[in-house]
Amino acid sequence: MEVDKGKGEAEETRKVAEADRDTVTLKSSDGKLFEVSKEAAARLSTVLAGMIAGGSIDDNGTDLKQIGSEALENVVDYCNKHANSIPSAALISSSISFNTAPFKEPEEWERKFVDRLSHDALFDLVEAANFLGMERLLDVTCHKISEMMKGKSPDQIREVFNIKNDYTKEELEEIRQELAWAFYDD
Amino acid sequence: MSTGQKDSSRMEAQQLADPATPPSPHLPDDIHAEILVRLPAKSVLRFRSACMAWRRITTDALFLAAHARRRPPEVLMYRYVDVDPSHCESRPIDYAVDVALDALPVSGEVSGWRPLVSYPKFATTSDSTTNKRWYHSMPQHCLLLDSCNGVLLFKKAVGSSYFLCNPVTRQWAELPEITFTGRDGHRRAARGVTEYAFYFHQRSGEFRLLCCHSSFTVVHGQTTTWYVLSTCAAEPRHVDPHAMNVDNLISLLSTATTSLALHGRVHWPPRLIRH
Repeated sequence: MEVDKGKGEAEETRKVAEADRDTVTLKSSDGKLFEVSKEAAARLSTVLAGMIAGGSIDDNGTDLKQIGSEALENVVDYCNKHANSIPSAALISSSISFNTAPFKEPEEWERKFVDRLSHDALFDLVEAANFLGMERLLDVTCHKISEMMKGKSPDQIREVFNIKNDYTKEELEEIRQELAWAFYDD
Repeated sequence: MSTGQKDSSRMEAQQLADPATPPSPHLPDDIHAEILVRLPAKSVLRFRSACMAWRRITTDALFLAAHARRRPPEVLMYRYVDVDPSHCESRPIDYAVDVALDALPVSGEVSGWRPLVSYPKFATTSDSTTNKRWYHSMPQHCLLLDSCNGVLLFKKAVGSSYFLCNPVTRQWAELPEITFTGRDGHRRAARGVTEYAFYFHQRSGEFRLLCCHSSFTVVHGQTTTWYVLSTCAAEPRHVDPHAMNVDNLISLLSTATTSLALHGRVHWPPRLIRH
């Protein structure tokens, strides 16, 4: 679906009564507007579902100040792709039972969707998915990150996540001994 | 996983090296938790060594419970395995039996079948004077009593000590032992302890065991004391069952349906009375 609607088109959609609209307009931190399927947004994001149910959706573009335009574009793209794909039973169940369903492998299109993202875009998308309470998108993006983490040493991981090693040498050795088996590859 | 540091000071210098590479965006801790909860157990454990914050996140009881829930459900099989006596000379045929715990995916995929642990069912003790071995017919090691959120509860056959095991993280923890003062004034391990419920206490993040110690003395007659044991407390805690009709509670060792922890309460099925 088209993203970043022009002003004229946004005006156009505003005239339609809210109840009749099947899309919602979201505004990124840098002021760009995106339109997304209302049904998919409500199904995939607990936060958007709450806003739609609570009537706090702004026709001029609901402000999502925490999300940049690139990440929001990806979120909207994901929702719309999801709306168009025939949702499998597995996906429906995982979007209902938050946090409790065992992880389901990403589908082929979801895999392609995250594979094309740069490192930074992927991390921004994880943050956006977390903010919007999008369990399935979190699963898919985190699954991609976990694939990136495979076979990496803790040193390399620190680099990827920009985290500091704040252990002393002794503490590190202690952890290594305690969990020695986890440091061997299968 | 060498860090290349020679002294034991906090290793921050590393991060300052190579200013040419721009730093990755720093994600908030809750997102790190979201990523870590989706990693396989082995990776989660290995990355505990990344930094203190990650260790804090991944050792949190709620994190471990969430991690366990995301795994495909598995059935735990408790079985006896005959061991080829030619491979264990120390045990005669009748005693060459192992207790084995295997995990099998509920989906039934046999490829996912993995052995967790096995140990001898019987203890053998040597008599050094005659060089003869004595065999106990009672299981001397441990008995699997129950499981909750992927954590197993074992009871040692000798004494009344309990320990917990998370087979995924291979962590063990012991529960405080119930003791009593004997007539000679010494503290000793209580016998005659019956277990009634093993559950996860949401608010404290502890695994707890509800049990009852029955004893008989000439002075007091039959007395029963109820205890809650938890991993974080050094001593068993007394509990008063109040007016609760405890006679109808079903113990964990019963073959009938046992207790179930749900929404912060422990439930027991009603006991059927046969006329």
